[in-house]
Amino acid sequence: MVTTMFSACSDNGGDWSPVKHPECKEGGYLFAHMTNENYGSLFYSVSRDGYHWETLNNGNSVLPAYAGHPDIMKGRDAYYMIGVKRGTGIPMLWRSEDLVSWKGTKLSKSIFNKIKPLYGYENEEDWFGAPKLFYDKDQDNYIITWHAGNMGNGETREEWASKRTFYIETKDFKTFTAPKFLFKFTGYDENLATIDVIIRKIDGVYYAILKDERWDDEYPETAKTVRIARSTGGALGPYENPGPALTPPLREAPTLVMSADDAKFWIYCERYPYYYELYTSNSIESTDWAMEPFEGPKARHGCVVRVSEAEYQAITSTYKN
Amino acid sequence: MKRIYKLVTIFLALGTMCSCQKSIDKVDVWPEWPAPANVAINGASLDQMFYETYKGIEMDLTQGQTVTFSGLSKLRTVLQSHYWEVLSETEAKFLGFDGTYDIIWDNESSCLFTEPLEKAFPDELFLCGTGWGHQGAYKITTHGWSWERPTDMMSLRRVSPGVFEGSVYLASGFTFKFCKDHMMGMREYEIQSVDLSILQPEIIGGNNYGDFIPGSGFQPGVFNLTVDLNDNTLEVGTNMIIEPETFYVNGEAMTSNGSYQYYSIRLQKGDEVTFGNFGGIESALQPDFWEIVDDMGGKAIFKGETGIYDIYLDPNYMVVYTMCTVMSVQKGNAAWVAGVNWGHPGSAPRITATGWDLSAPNNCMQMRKVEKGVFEVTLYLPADFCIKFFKARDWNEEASTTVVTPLPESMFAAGVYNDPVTGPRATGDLVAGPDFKAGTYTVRVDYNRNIVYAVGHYTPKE
Repeated sequence: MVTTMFSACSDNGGDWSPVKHPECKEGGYLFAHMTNENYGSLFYSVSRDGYHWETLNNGNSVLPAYAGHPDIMKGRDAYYMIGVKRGTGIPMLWRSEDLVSWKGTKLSKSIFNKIKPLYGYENEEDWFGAPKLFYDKDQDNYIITWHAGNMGNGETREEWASKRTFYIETKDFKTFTAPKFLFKFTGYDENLATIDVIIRKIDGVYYAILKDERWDDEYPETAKTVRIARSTGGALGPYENPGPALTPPLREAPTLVMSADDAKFWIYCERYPYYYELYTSNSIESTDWAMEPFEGPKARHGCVVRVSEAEYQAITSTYKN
Repeated sequence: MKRIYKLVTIFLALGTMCSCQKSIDKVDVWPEWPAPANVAINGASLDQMFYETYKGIEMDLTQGQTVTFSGLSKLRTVLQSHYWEVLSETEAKFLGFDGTYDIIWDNESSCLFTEPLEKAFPDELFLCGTGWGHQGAYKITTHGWSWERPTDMMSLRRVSPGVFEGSVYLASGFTFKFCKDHMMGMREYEIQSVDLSILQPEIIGGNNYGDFIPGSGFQPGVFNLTVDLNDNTLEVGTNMIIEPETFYVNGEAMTSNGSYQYYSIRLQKGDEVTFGNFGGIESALQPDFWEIVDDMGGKAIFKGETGIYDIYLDPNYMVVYTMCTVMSVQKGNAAWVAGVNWGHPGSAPRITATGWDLSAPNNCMQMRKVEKGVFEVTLYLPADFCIKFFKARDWNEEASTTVVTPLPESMFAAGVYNDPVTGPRATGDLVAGPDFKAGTYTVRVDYNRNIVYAVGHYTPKE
């Protein structure tokens, strides 16, 4: 069912919890996230089963130089994530081979800001619309997605309703294509405002997991929920209109992984501005996602990635409490 | 009370500013920035207007009172920490003394600014200057030496008689003074660097103008300031620091002077220059002087007149100013522009200029010669911009709209000051015409025809 992006796990869970959940046979989960108290900083939490989490480094940031909305992606040769140089409006690319040592390189903000002359959209340069990364192995290409609106800054209703998701492509993080809109939805979703979009490939189909950023008085069925759009044409679409809401309203920043026993799809998403929740389903195309209780870390906007045993050990030994 | 302060400050402004502009109806010209649609404080929405265009609410607050905020997702970065102790995602405890306060939303920084209704010493003390910001924003939020916005004068919290505290972000090259009232320009209302013993002089020092400026060991970050007027001290507590960086020109490290990264280089047309550790240079360099060869690789071709240039990197905005200060119209190789409310094109729509000043790199720009007697500069101009042109980098060399005619009239206008005693007089400023729209423009001054216009927006007659 699930191909290359998820490695296998088995049921040998510990019994230290009232509810026994299968643990990964090898490795575990890394949750890279920020906290409400330290918005934009990078914290690590780990778990063997995806239900019970421990925040490392005694609750301190693991990379003080990082600022952003962490989204770690395993690329061709290393892990990557994007952030900003705090206070300057300069985007940063971070690279690591072991998830412990990260090296930051500045990116040109003009890469993102071409949306202004091309489409009249503005980036907010504090966070650059929480860029996410996807490595398209078929094309050996990196895709960066982010959201921008009419004004850039400003938390107005109109600004959030104007958010659209853009993408650029790169093979080497040195040259980049011009930005384009990722979606062209129709009908009910023609004016869909989207943020926090992640792309994943499952069984040959590409899925964009997104937040519907419209308002509930106009779109009461899906406003401020997490939804999934699919594409059989490639990572860049065309994407079909997204399915129904898979979460209640006021959820965002979704991240997708397989369960420890590979039996279920898990979407963690933030019930902002409070904590993360876990939604599970037997199929990525299901319209029936159930919320499961889990002992999440004190986290806001982040991503969950599966890591090998060696990586798990390196992370936990470096940042042990 | 507020109206009285406004009258006083306007009067002072007329007396102290070296240049005034044509009357601008700010309500029409400035955008009305609404507060977030769903923000409420103790259940009340931000529907009162402050400083003409800012929304907020006037509230009676008592020390220790728990106040509920709704519609905000990042309370710790929205509230000023010297006035508020955040208790939860939606609640904060007020730390100030009992009284009436204005809580004002700044849409540009997505922050709330708290200030007392009665802006007067000894109950209150204010900080005003350049290069500082709301501590939660972690960037510059002030527009400079001004009192026209809630972001321009920060209210410190009085903790006891004569003792005031404030948490503030300080960027490279900051300057500030403390003010005893919501005004400036009068010595008796100012607390200058010479008035206080600075307990951490390596972080904050003083200059000959009485400003507080960066000390030798300063790095940008968030600082907690305690002004004690009983023993005349300033204590500087460090909250969060940004690590210093090194930038390179043609492989050589730039030098920091506390405000800018600096490099001097002889350049001639066609020279290829490499900028290292800038990330991208397309939004950093002035398009007037540089043609980008490799944005991420930091390579650009110089296209100005031959000379020894100073290259200044403003690390606050990551933009570069290129200038050869001895060039002039008389020498046939440059004109100059300065003013208020304008910005480097690479950081639009931010305002990077902090005031009328021909000495600081961010406050004046060299205009590149495009043909004999014709000079261009590309800059961001908001609706309330106000600039002048000079034939040399010297106040005595002004050759602005009393010499050149702004065209077309719908776009640009010559500044006029309506003196209540002597009547209207030309100021020499270039200001917005009735149909002007904020944006990035290449402004061309033609001293052969004595006209000034924006390239692409007007074609001179042959």
